[in-house]
Amino acid sequence: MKFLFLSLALLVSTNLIANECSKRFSLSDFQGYDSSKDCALEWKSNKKLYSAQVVFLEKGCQRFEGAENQDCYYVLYCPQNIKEETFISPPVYDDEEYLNQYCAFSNPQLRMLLGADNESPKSPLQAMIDCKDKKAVSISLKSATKLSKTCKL
Amino acid sequence: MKTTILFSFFLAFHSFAQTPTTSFTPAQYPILHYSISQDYPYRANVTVMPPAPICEDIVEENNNALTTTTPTPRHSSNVTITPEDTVVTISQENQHIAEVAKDELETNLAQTANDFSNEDEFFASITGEPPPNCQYSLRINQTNVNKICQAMDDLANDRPVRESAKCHVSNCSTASYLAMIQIAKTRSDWSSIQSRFTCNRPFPEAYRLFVGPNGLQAFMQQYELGDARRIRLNGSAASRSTKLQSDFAQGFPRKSDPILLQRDQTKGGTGHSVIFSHFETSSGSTYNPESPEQISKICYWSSNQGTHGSSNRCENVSYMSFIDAAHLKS
Repeated sequence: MKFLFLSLALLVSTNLIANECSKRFSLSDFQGYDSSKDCALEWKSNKKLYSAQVVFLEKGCQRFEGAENQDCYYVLYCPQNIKEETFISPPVYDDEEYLNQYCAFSNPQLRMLLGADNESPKSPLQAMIDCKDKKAVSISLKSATKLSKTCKL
Repeated sequence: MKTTILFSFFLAFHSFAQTPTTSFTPAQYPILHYSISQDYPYRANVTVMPPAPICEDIVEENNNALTTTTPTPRHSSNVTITPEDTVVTISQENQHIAEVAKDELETNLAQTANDFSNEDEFFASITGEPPPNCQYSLRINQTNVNKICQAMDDLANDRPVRESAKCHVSNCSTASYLAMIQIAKTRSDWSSIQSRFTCNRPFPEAYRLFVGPNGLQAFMQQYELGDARRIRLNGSAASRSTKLQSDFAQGFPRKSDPILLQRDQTKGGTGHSVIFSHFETSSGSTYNPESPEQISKICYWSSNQGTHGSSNRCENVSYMSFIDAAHLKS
């Protein structure tokens, strides 16, 4: 019974996050959006709800005109309060060679998808490509309240 | 073997007209270096994707989002391009026109000092009525990859671009990059970074960096070239305008800054590498901070599919998610 309750609570929580970003970004309009691969982080700050989400788009991004559509990720930042700004990362192509180029940067700021110092305005959420042995392995999300989550690529 | 002409937009320059409107006169056009190749294979069967540029042009126009400031048609109806084509064939008539234009351009280039002390003067001096058939290419074959790389190399090393490299196609990334070489060469620290611009197949290190992840930002930061900023846009037209006005007042972007336009998902989340010219207001005039009106469009130079090649044009900021701007000029 307890397990069932916890599962239900988790399901509701996950849906809340997904719904918030779905609502603010109209995710259903994103080509190739695969909700089964969502990776989300939710937190509260000053009684306000915030969520961040890594979404996967199957064949949803085109690097340049004429190229084949590619799988890709976006990181979304979704405050529940409609008056607060959302943020979206640049498309991150799910291509090993491309992803690993992030790991060649000597300046870690260049691995940041959201929350880099030269953003104007700067995203309260930090999203970063994580590297291991010079290979991109995950995207880490870090909230302003220091909550974090790692989303495997 | 049919004679073919491959056009390119290399030696990419920007016509930074300081006119009160968004109309660009022919004399302000950025004609980019192009050349003629005899007996080029009509249809190359090897297509090589260059390091992926962030470069997608929007060609459809359904809500006046794009304003092309190209007053004259430049794309001959004699040109036939199929999705499989990697080269372009043109008529004898257009070939002659192109040859004349090529000679004119090369003469102008040879006589023009390249110090970028006055962008308007410089760009005006090398530009004129663009030749027909200057083509934006969606795909670049191996032969053209080599030519582009050689052209980049010659340009970066102050050599006349070799004849064999003058003929190639381009996209917004290659065109913007060539303009960036010209701008970077005016920097006092050019000698310390020049080697990064040397052609190492398939492309120079600097170009690979520029078209890689976080490209423009990476290009600026890895080479410690100066300030770059990601200007995030959100919300209503008014809030976007306010944001752009604020950043513009802080110097981002400046005329001749390389910029990356990142569109939102309503436009497929595509990007476009361009050189900034100016902002256009909702009334259609050039934005002036001293008598500010709402900014509605960003005007730039690039190689655009929608204009079949290099041109100045303006694009609505209503669907931009961010604009990366970089102060490359020292």
